Amino acid sequence: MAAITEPVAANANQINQDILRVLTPPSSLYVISVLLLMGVVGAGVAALAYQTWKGFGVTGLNHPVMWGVYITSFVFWVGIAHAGTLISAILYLFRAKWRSAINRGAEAMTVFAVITAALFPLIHIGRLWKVYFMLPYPNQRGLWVNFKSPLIWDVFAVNTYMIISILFLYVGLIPDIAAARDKCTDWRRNLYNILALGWRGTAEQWRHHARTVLHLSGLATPLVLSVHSVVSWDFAVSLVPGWHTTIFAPYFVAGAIFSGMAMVITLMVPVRKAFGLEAHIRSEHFDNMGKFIVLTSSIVAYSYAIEFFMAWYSANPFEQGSFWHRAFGDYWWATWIMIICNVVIPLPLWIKRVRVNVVALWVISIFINLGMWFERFVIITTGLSHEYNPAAWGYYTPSWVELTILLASFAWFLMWFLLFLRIFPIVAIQEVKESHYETQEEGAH
Amino acid sequence: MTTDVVQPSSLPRGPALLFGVLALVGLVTLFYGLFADSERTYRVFLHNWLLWAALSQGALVLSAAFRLTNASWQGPIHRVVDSLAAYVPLSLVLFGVIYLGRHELFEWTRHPIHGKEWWFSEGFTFIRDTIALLWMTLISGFYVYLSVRPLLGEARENTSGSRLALYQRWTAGWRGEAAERELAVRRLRKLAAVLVLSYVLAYSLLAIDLIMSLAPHWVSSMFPAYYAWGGFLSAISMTALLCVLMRNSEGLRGEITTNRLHDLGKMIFAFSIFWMYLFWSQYIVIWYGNMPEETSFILARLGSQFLQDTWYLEGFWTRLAEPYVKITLLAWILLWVVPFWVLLGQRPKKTPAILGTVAFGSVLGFWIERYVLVTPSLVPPESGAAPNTLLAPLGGIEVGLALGFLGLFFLCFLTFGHVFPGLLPAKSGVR
Amino acid sequence: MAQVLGVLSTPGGTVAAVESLKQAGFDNLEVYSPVPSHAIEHALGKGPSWVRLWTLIGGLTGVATGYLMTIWMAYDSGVVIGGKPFASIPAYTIIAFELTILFGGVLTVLGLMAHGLLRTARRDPVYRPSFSNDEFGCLVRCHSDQIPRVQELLQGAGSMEVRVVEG
Repeated sequence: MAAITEPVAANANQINQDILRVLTPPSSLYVISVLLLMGVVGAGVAALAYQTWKGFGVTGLNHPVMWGVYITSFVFWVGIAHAGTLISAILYLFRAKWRSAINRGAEAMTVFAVITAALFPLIHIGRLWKVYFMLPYPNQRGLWVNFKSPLIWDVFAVNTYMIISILFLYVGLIPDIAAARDKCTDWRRNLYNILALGWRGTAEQWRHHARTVLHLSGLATPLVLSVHSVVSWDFAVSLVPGWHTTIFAPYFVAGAIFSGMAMVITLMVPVRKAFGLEAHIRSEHFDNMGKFIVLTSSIVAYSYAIEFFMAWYSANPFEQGSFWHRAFGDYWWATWIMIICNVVIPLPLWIKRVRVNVVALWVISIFINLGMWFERFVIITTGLSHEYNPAAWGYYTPSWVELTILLASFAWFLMWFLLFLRIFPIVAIQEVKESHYETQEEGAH
Repeated sequence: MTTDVVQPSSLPRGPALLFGVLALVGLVTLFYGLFADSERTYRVFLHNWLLWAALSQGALVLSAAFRLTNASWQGPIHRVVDSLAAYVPLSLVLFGVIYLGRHELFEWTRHPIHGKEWWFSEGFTFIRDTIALLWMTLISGFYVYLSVRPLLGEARENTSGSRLALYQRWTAGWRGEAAERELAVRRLRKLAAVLVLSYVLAYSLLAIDLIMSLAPHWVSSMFPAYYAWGGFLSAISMTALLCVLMRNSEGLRGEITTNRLHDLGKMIFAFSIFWMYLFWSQYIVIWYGNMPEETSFILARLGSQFLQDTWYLEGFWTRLAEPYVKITLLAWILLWVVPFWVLLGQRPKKTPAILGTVAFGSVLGFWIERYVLVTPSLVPPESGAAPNTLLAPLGGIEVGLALGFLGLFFLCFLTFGHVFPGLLPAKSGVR
Repeated sequence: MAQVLGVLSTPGGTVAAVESLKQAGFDNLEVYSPVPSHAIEHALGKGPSWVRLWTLIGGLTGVATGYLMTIWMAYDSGVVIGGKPFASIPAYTIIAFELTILFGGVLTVLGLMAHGLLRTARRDPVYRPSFSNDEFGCLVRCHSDQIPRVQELLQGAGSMEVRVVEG
């Protein structure tokens, strides 16, 4: 195994030290990066303010394409969020030990990705001050929200997901916050003191804690399936050609896990390098993540194929026209970017040597991120631009406002991730230690 | 020398006789049925074929999944799983009967479907399906060969006769036990990936050609994957059922531990939820869209009760009495309601009687589900039916053919255990 | 009541200590550990956590809320939308499902706080920072004349340090 050549933590104390070292005062590079990201976020806020002031006309959205970059990005970020829950909850239930090195990073990523995603419907509303219309509240009109609308399903699904993933992250963090509390000497000690909620690691506490993690995993696993399914039904329950198809739910979920896993790799490779976590995030972890990429990429490829086939098989001219347009029409380039990035470029990962090559894996993961953004763009834009009536076909080009906000969303996401990195342990200390003790005891027998 | 390989036993006489008789009953029913009512016979044959083909192939997919995930909890269970695949070649052979009945079964052989003439043409359809089944049989055979081979080295010392000849052929170029095992693990892992991919593609194709084509205007992009998943889940249920039934047999005694039952229970629980998820994802889109070309499939099975404008309480019981509705709901209950609610806790998963009953219910549920997938397309309910009828009768031909398939399947299973050793390694065995 | 604390370095050692103490009839034990350990929990012989009840109650409340809220609000608005009935069960199932998870999850965490955290949040003189790092603590509450026996057992199980703590 390649892992043998890499450093392995000698004892629990060293694990503690290694991981908590990330929390030591930041380098100037770090501060500059955060400031830079904040600047980009600021540009996005300015663009949003401009859009809110001038009206929705400053975007490229117009008839017939009324959903564009914003909804694409919403779906993209919700998708990114999925790997966190997958790694934390599903792999926890399957007792896959390798998750321990990356689950904290993935959970944090989930929270920030959902928060980023949740911004986009608000941005897309245009009239931000009417946001509360989405919630059921008593009002003089005597109307409640329409629970038959998939968009309201989304409100419930995304908010539930946000709350549950925050709780999941926090519950997992409690013992690690206590570990940080016991080593910390600066201002953060008070913060940790409060957030650790009196954690002392007694058997009684661990017993309830383990139960809680188990139940949250059990709840989060169907939740993660449901969230992206609900997002997919935003499209699938309508009658737009190219949208109304039954495979959408599992297809979106697989795509979400695919893109989310790619994002975990994109983030964790630099973090591992920058903070010297090579002993804790090892090539076996990358190998397993690579396998997940291979699996989900195959499912996504199957879905692309079956979608095209069923469009033809339906013998429905609108359906056929929509898919012809998708592959060879105005947006052929987006479609082929999507297919190449999501199906072709991940192919080398079938070979183990590529999976454990961190640089190769990292580069591929970036292409997947790109490809998955384009997948949502392709579905949304080509579907709307080419509906039933040829007279109402159209072409959509995003404006600079939309692109600025899109860019800012990446900065916003990374900014939170970087801030999190310096305040909370980015690797689950207790779990790494647990595996450490387990290997030690196995060795003793 | 390690002695963790159980020698192949002689065929257990009681079960072998029973299943032989059942297979014979099936054969007699088939011939009788073809003369008495060929349309009905082919229909029943198709639905049984769909169940057992996907189940035995799904078993090998389960075995492949164990290999791919490096799962070690299952111990000797994966030998049981491998043996379930003994029926795979027979599904290729029996596919011939479906070919013979093509004019009775498939409307498109008589009236070509506009826009799909070349896809649904006798030659192309049956050639591609045969190739798919042939390919599955070949790689399944190779997979089983690789999986069994490491066990034969030791077994051939104590065998004689035709079995010895077979063992010698299968152990040509023997490298020694340890090397063989290691090689097998490496090769199987690669083959497992190919097998899973092939299964999904081949059984998606079969779902389109043999089920969707019965109602050739109906479209659902989910359906092929749904059918393939059903095959996988039915294989897990069958595995759990056999593990429970055979837990005291010679080779498995002491191996079917509480933990392993628990894990099998968890698999049925989780994967039946996923089955429900696929079912639901298909249903909600069709329900919401409410387009006749999509709802027709649901209308013929679940009746008008569960379509968009009819989720009302008044008339609930009348609508429930529409043809096929109750039997469809029974399948749904056996496949999701029972596994979910019964196996929710920890203790039922660990109790052999409960787990076994649920697993049996699940296999039976799949038999019913396959019936429901096939029959309403061929005997559509709109031909004016009295309440609570099935339209297609459940009589001698149905029962006879079902028993025949059952007998045949388990004859294959028993024969496999009779010919090859190591079906049941006595210790934790092959990893 | 006296309190004796043994400090150990591995989960295995802690399990051994707990087992020997239990055998000797000392049942009033508390273990501090930097990692979760099934073995320690098993050795202490505690039943399943009450958190599961909280999840159940939360989930049931959620599913009931989901269906009742949606159906009632649809009837209260009284507007036919998309030709669907007021009580469109398939659509509302999704809301009910999400609320099941939401209420179940939130109540689970509240349960953790109620049983495991807030109730024990007062100052603990026995606790030391190394218990969140790489040391395990085994605290025995016993009658003061049994102290030597407990000390001996803790030593025997390989404690790095054994001392009587004021409590």
